[in-house]
Amino acid sequence: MSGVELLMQPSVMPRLLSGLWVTVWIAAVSVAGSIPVGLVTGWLMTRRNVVVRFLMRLYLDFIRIMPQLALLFIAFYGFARLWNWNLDATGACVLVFILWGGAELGDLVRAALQSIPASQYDSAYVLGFNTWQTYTRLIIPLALRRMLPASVNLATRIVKTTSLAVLLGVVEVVKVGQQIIDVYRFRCPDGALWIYGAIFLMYFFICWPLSLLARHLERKWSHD
Amino acid sequence: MTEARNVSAAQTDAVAQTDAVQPALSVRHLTKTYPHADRPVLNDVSFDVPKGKVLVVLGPSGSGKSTLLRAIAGLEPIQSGTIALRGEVIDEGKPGRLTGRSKRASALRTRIGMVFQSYDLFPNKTVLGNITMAPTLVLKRKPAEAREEAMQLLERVHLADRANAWPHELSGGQRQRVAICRALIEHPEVLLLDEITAALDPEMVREVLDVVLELADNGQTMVLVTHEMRFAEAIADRVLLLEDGAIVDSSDDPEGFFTNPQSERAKQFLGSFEYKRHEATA
Amino acid sequence: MSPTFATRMRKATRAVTALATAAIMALGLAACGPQAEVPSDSSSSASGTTSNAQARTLDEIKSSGVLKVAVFSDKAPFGYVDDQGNYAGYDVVFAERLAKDLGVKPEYTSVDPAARVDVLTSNKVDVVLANFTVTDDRKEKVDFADPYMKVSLGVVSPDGAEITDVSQLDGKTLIVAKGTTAETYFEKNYPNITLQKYDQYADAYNALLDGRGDAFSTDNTEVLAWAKSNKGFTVGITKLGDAQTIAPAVQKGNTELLDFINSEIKQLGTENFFHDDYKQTLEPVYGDDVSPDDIVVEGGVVD
Repeated sequence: MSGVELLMQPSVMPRLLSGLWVTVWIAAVSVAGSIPVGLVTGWLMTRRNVVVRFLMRLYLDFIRIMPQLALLFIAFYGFARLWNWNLDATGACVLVFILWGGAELGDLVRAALQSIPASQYDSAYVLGFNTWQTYTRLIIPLALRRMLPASVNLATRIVKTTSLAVLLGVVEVVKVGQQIIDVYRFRCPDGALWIYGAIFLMYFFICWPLSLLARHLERKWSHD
Repeated sequence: MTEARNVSAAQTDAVAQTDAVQPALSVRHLTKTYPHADRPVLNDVSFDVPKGKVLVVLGPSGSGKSTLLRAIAGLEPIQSGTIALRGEVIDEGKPGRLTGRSKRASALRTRIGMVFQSYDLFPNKTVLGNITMAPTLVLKRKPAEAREEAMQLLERVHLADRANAWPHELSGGQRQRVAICRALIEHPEVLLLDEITAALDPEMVREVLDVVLELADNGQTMVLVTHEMRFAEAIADRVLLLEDGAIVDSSDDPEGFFTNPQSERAKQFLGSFEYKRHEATA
Repeated sequence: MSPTFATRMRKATRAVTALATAAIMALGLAACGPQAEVPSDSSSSASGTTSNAQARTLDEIKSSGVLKVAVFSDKAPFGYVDDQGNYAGYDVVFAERLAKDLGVKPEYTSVDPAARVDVLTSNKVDVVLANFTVTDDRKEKVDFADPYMKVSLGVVSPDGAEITDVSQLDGKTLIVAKGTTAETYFEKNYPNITLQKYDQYADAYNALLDGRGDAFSTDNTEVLAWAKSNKGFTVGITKLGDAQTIAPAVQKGNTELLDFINSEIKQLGTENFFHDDYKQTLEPVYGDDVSPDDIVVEGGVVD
């Protein structure tokens, strides 16, 4: 059986797509969860309070220094052993990716907030805007425009990193691919190349539009 | 919030009050120190600006001119003294407060307009959006009405055709004219202009100053800081000379002040200016 | 020292050990290439016995309605996912029966070889049925029930450069899968053989097909099956090391479930269950080359 024939098998593509759905689901939930965490973290990072800033710095550095895989293993195995807090593999992935995405997004929020010139706050104050109006009408829209391109890139990284979930036993697209390769390994020795190729294309078609979007936004708002 | 009270009742100092009408802006004994600074940046500054008059604040760089304007606008906390509009005190010095903006109520803030040196239009709004934002959000005026007045203002500054442009599409001079409209639409009792032409290319200075001259002709009360001496001379009703945060000279006769200065400080300041000019053209 | 303090200290020590182990294990896997020396499952789970994750009791399993079983999902014919997306294989047939006799449904978790101890210590599953070879090291971290299969190592190599004796491997590169018996066996007994390690069997086979290594070693059942369907490859060594048994594993100290499984295995012996299982899942792959009695263990008794 050739690789093309393998991909044309009635069960192969649907199974890969159902695996892809798991990937997309984990990524989507993680990105969605990262947004509130990131907004709060970023806001806290700009506070004057030294303790708050130190804790946020610690959080960000811890997440940055630890490989995502280490965090995944701690969340999946470590928590269960320590506190009998037994997350399932998907839950552990989502938790880690939200903490990771939240920290990285928080740093983007912080940078965006700090990049807004003080004269914008001054103008809003002199015109009589209250704090709520200043933030909702001016600061947040401006910050969003500044951070959106980088945030879309972060989402792309989260999508790619979901492939680590396979190491916790999550049956996502890569694992489904390995299962198919295994079942067909006698009938289709070239299966691995074709299946991984198909998975590569699937990742590509998810991440590529995101990356185009990021570039488009970057160009569109370059003058702010 | 600062409790409104009549400033003239409590007023006993030397600044004469010849008119029965309250001045548009009265500043009394204003003193301000930056955190960690050993001396005040503004030291016991007092002056009045009558309604419809233009006060020009002069002084070498670092003398506290911009800080004075920012303090009047509420952007800098003051440690002592008062700021009053038409006799109503809107801000009083608090000795302990060194950072943050004044807790002045929103309605009080709209009574003073300010235009800054940097082009600080809101980049996420069009020209029209920039001007109509405050009247609709803060003064709760009808959007259509605000838009109509904004268009009239843009007409006056010759920018009606750019109403739907984005700030980044405008030149520096155009942006400053829009910023002036954005301040004017709230009908401020006092308009503060802080070196609004300092960051402009020379060929754009004129178009902005023409607008300011027209405002003066129409009776807009203004306090302005500028380095354009001929413009200052042409527009001022009253001149203050600030040095190291204190008023060292003042005059109600701008023409005399500029052509034949009386005090040594004024001579020195204007002299340094002449010297710089000669050097620049040499 | 008060008992409360002592308990607290013990808990704190456990917490630190468990976190550190997880971190080291993860760093090892994440940072090292296939050539690097990484701890296998036996050393990585040093804290396996200090877990706070309590295994579920039989009653809890019954009332939840599911038996959580860790199986391979890409290791035919023992545990794999078939064309239709269903779990199948020798281990899975046993798991189905075990769940049925408990009156519950099986719920499968896909595991990699290196994760088999950890899924038990952290109570992710109730039982591991993933071609789990009984070793002394592993016995310290998990409790094995009676065996239902036996196996020794085999070495598969290309026909042109067939390896028929271990001595031929001296100075050569041998492919192994991380966390398998083969990995520990060769590390311990043949330090001169360069090991090339992979997380996944699929990747290990690809490495052999691509010629990245000279031979691949794992359980003889596995390589026999593979060589049978891959022309140009032969199992030159069919029996290496001591014959080892394969048994279900449960969390350390979970005697309740262990006893149930043992009595179940005895009971199944009377109906020759594993011979049927063999016929259904393994015979189509091994053919007549191997006698079922060389692989199947019935009633938990190895002869």
